[in-house]
Amino acid sequence: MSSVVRFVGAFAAVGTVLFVGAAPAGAVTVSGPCSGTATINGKQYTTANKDDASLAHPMPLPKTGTVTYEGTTGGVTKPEHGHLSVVLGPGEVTIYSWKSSNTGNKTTDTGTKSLTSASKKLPGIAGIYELKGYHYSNGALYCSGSGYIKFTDSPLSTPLGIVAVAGTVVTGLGLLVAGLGKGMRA
Amino acid sequence: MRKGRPILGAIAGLLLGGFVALDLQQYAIRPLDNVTIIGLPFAGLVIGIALGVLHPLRPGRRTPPS
Repeated sequence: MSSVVRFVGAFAAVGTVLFVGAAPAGAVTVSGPCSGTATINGKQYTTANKDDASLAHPMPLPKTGTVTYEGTTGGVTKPEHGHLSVVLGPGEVTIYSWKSSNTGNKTTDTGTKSLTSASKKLPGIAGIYELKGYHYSNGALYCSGSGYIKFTDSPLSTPLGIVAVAGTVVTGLGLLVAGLGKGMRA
Repeated sequence: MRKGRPILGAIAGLLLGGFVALDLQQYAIRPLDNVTIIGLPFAGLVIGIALGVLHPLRPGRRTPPS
């Protein structure tokens, strides 16, 4: 079994080098004059606290409850548009967008969203995601930010989580078989 | 004498790296960034080919009784 341990150790060592060598910054970042807060089931998260929604402390999104948000642009942006996207490797997938002529010259926005109805639109999602947000004024990027969110569902309660675990076991066995080689008569 | 399985090692290593990246994301350890979605499958590919060529996990040879 010592050779199996060596193999697992080699894989872990390569993974560790990759992680330490290219670890993301991990903290919440905001570029530009925008700021905001989100209160989820009584706990407030703010862009002023760099540890809120960081990689070490991602913002949890439970299946039930409400989120109350408040945001300010720090100045009038018009016409304005923006979007939220989820980072998937080298690409980003837009999950929400907004657009307004802002004729009322608003600089702040507040509101409440139901997590219960949101979770019904996103069934079977678990794990951690990097979320990025962009806000544009008159076609130019006005401010942007990023942070981490975590869906609190158990991975084994989602099809993707089950596939991930089963796939790891099956391909791990395949790698062991490859490491054993195939016998030949001399 | 034993023969290697580099193709199996390459495919299994590549897929294992991808599934490990997915496990890390699903268990909220690390999101699917460039390192996990590209780096781990690449590391798996390299390790898989090496295992397939060198097959270091082969059962030990029995020494004949003297």
